[in-house]
Amino acid sequence: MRKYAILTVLLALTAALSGCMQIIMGRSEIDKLFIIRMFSFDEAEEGKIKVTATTKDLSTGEGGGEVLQKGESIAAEGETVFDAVRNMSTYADRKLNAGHTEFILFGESLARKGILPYLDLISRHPEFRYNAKLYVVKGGTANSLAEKASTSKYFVGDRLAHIEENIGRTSISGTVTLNEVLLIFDERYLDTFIPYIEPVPTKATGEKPDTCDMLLNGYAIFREDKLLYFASREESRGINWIMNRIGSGIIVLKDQTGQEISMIIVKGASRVIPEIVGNELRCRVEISFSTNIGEIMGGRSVFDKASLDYITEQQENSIKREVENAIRIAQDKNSDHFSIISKFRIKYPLLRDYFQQNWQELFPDIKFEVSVDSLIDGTYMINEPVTASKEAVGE
Amino acid sequence: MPAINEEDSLYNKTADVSSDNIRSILGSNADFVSRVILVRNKPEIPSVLVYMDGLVDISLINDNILKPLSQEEQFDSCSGEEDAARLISMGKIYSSSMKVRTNMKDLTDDILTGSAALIFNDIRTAFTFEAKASLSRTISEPTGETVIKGAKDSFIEDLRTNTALCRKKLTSPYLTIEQIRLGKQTKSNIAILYVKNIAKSKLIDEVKQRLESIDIDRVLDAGVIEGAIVDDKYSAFPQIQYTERIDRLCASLVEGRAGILIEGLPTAYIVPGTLLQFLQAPDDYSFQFIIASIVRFIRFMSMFITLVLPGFYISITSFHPEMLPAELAFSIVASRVGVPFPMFVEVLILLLAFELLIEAGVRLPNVIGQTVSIVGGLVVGQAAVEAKLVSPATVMIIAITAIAGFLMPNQDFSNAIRLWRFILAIFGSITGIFGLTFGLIFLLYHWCRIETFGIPYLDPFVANEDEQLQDTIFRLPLFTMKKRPSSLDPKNKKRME
Repeated sequence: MRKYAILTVLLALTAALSGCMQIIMGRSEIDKLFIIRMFSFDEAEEGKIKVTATTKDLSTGEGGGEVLQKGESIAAEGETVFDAVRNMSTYADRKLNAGHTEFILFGESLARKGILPYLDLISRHPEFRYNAKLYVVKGGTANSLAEKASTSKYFVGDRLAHIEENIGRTSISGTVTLNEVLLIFDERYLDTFIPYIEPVPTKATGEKPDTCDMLLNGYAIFREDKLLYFASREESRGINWIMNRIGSGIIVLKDQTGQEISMIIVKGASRVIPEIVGNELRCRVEISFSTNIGEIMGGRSVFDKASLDYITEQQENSIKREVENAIRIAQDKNSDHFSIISKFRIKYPLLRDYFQQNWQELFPDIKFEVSVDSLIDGTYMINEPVTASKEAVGE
Repeated sequence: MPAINEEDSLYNKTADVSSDNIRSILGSNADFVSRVILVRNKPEIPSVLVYMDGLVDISLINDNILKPLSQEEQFDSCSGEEDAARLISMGKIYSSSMKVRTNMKDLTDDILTGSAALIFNDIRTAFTFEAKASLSRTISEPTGETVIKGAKDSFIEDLRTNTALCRKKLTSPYLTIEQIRLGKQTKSNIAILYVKNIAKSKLIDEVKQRLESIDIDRVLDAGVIEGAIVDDKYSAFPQIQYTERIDRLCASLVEGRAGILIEGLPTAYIVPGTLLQFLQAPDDYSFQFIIASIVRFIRFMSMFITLVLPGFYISITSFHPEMLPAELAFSIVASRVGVPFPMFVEVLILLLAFELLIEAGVRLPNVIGQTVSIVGGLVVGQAAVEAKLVSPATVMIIAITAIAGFLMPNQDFSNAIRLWRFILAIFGSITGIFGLTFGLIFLLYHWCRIETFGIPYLDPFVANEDEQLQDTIFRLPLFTMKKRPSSLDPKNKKRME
């Protein structure tokens, strides 16, 4: 019994003196929490910051029916992010909890001024998760998107999560986590890209008039922590090719007779090989992918060797154009969002300082050589187009 | 001044055996029967037949005692009680269990345990003949340890039947059954069983010594012996395994353990009992080893679930909600809308309600017990959820906890787990996961410090011989278990070559 008493006292002292009292004091019932799923930052008047916290609305409408919106937001302004968050607490009916924050949104105007200062609290605060995903709201404020993108059936976070799940089908955008961005922002020579959301009026019926849908249409390119420009869908897919982030996607091309064919990217991979030849920096981008013939918008069969060779060449050219275009724009803007400098530093560690000091001058002059190799894997069981005539198939 | 021993004063050690003396001890009882019998109708050879009505089989007395006394011609040559006693001692009365009694204590004990006594007053001698009436029920299926594959017989309340059942299963000549009497009032027979060429002598001596040192009035309940001989008397965890199954006792004896059978109880005790034993079910050895291993692993998991789940649930919902997947967190929040109690109170209410239901189910007759389960579990449960007294998510958690608890093969162990479930829930409600971890460390410490008959409670997990781990969380094929548990230090260490 004496041993038990000693053990209890020792452990109680451990709890009391090691900061664990914080835990004891931090007790709060889960239903008394405002569980933040989305955190949004915008510029406010007089140089202040507007922070919006959004959670899922779990209440039911009158008589147990549907509510008008599945989202519930509270917003506050402050001199700093922390100030704004604490101001939020002055009227929030529940205790704010950021442990489930999955999305962090930035309004466009704020993003153009730089997002790094706003990430300091998030990276410092123990409740936030480093795998939270970052987005920029194009042409509007993050606050308006948070408040208007929830429908009567779906919470904005759920909608965004569903879009994310599907983004691999087009590969024109992607997800970027807080951790990835913070690692890049640690290096002042690197630029980055963050997916952007474009709010558009909703096409769903039965929703409030100002409800909006969200389009995930590409990447917002950042120089250091400031928004530089919004990349087009094609450029964004080019970025994904170079960054080896391709899931799937469609390549629309024409065969010898001009009929349109949709090729589905089944799998793809790329690698960037840096090299110094003489005094010249070069980069070889090697891309390989395989496709299926998904659709033939015509009556002619393309399953002969000549046609397949032609289509293969066409799809390789198409991807090569996308990638070269993405590289060209990046070099024109002098924005190394592909992290090419990292590849050079790894391969030539002795030149690390040289690269870092001169990268602004070196990057635009790097000679990129893009090589694409592809294969048509299958046809989804059907060889002939459905519009093929009996004569064409030889019956 | 020496203490007055009422028993000694009752028997009056100096008193001779006589019918008057036995009548003075037992004569006030309604079931006491005494009758004078004249051997071969000779008035010069009177004897007194004494027995307790109901304890003896009257037909046995008629056929085996009265008939030879009146009809056996050899008694004609007797001239007095001495001659008759000589002939009886030579076996003229048809009984294989005749005992000569010359003191009142032995005579009284025999009569009270179902013997008939023939008393010759002049020569101060009595003969007792075992003529027990069959008061025991028939051998039936075990109720608490049912198996799908395996024997369906179980112990009953009669000690001799129980020892016979063991002998029938374990025909080794080394099976030893020793018997002692315990209980000043009940004088219950206690049998100690072991296999002489396997069980360690020190263990058997220890068991005997502990049993003999028990000073108690009655041995009518299962807990009396158990509570008296365990090492850690303040632990809720069982340190002796009980079983209704004969095959289970025999299997343990063959491993080198000792068994204890108590008159009047349909259960056997196996010593020493370790934690692992309480998680093993008889079916584990009936099924193919892969299936048995999976089932046993699930049982270990369920022990952990039933022990920790309520505390863990309180911890993560009250202290660490970020540990939950977001959707699950929202589900719990949605289910708790309108519930007035904090999570800890809600869990505690449901755990107590569950305990009440179990207790009610045990105490009530079967038919009413089922009704209580339905009314308590379904009707009241549903009403409580609809009245927002408890949340559906918490009901689910407690239901999972309860079902996991039902997987425990040993009721004593299950009860201990139930107690510790409360303790861990309280720890979890004070400091979250930290408290829960503290509680678990405390429990582990408690387990580690228990020794049962010199063997660590956590054996073989704390043993240094890895071979014993073949029959722990998983059960490997029987052919790989060539040695008996080394912690028992058996005389014959090998099960097979």
